[in-house]
Amino acid sequence: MARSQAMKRRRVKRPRFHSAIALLPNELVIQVLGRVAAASHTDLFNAKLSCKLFHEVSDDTYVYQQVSLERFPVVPWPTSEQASSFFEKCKECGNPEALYRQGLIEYFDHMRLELGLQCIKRAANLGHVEASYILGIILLCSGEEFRQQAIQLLDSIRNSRVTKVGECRKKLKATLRGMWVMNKLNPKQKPMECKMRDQHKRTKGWSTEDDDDLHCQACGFDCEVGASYFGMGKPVAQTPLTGLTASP
Amino acid sequence: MSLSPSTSKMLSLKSSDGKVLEVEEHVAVLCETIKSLVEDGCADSPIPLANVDGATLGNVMEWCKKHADQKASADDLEDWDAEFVERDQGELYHLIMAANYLNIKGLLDLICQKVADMIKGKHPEKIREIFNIENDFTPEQQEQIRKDNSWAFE
Repeated sequence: MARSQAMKRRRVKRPRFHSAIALLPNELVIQVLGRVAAASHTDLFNAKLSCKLFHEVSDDTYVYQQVSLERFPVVPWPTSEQASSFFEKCKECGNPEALYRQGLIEYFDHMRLELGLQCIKRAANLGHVEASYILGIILLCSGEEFRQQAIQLLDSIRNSRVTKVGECRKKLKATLRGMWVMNKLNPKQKPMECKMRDQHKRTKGWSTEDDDDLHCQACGFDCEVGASYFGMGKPVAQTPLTGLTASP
Repeated sequence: MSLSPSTSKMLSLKSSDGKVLEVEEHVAVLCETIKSLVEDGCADSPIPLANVDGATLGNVMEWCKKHADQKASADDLEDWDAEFVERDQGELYHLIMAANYLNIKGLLDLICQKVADMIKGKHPEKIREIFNIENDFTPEQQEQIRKDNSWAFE
């Protein structure tokens, strides 16, 4: 397969004993371990501890790309050098979740906006849906010239049958809550001021059929990102993406 | 594999141990490798598949036949696949190699996932037992690896 051919081929010394799985070529053992890694990083580490073959084959780019970081804290243990270096390796190998998290930390916590955005974009390009979602929100808040691109991104999530926007929002909030937020959002970084903000506050939500109300949507995103970030309860807009399609 | 009366063009596939299998073309082309041969007009004579033995080829074509069936629903296929992978490890590895050689992504994914599922959620001792693997680390290596990876189990 194309992927297998593209993979780095290394010789791993084969065990002397008779084990059927050891007869598989490395590139196929890597395929199996990639799927183990996709279950959880602890599953991968248990496999690595079982024998030299699994230990050495696990050190492949493909395996690092696949690792699920779901049970891995959003901010890696600062005291564990090994944990940080594992996370770094995932990032280097293009693990979409690692890039996404790094992006969030850089953008929202360390305030290194360019670097953060770069990571988030890479993750989004690799098909990470939550990364596309937050990228859409950031773009929507970045001024007129990015609005069309933002709408396209958010619409593609909305039209996808696999992932729901609500799920993206929930995951984003969970991830942001998991971060050790040191810096508050700089007010200058807030999305554009919505001229109708007061009205929105009064009505607490707007007609979902209202499809030319982009400022309101932006305002909704603004509040939502802010609310998630500071953990200040419910976002103002519960369904900020409805009606984004046919905008002027 | 039984030959069912059909108007579909038949292809002959020859396994590494010399067995010839007659398969409908629309089933066989689920293998990208065979599809390329058909597209290039090189599929007239029995197609030699030097890396796949007869028994494995039969299993592979059984999977292809099911998955080429337009009437099969996604749920139906999922249930069928779950039964299909209930095999001993030797057969699974032969299927992985064949799926890789014949370039059948769906089958490769299915079997690799099955083997991965056998590893998931197990301690190293249990993994060794299931796969008949010897612990080939020296006690010093074992200790070092445990130390290096201890964070993952906290």
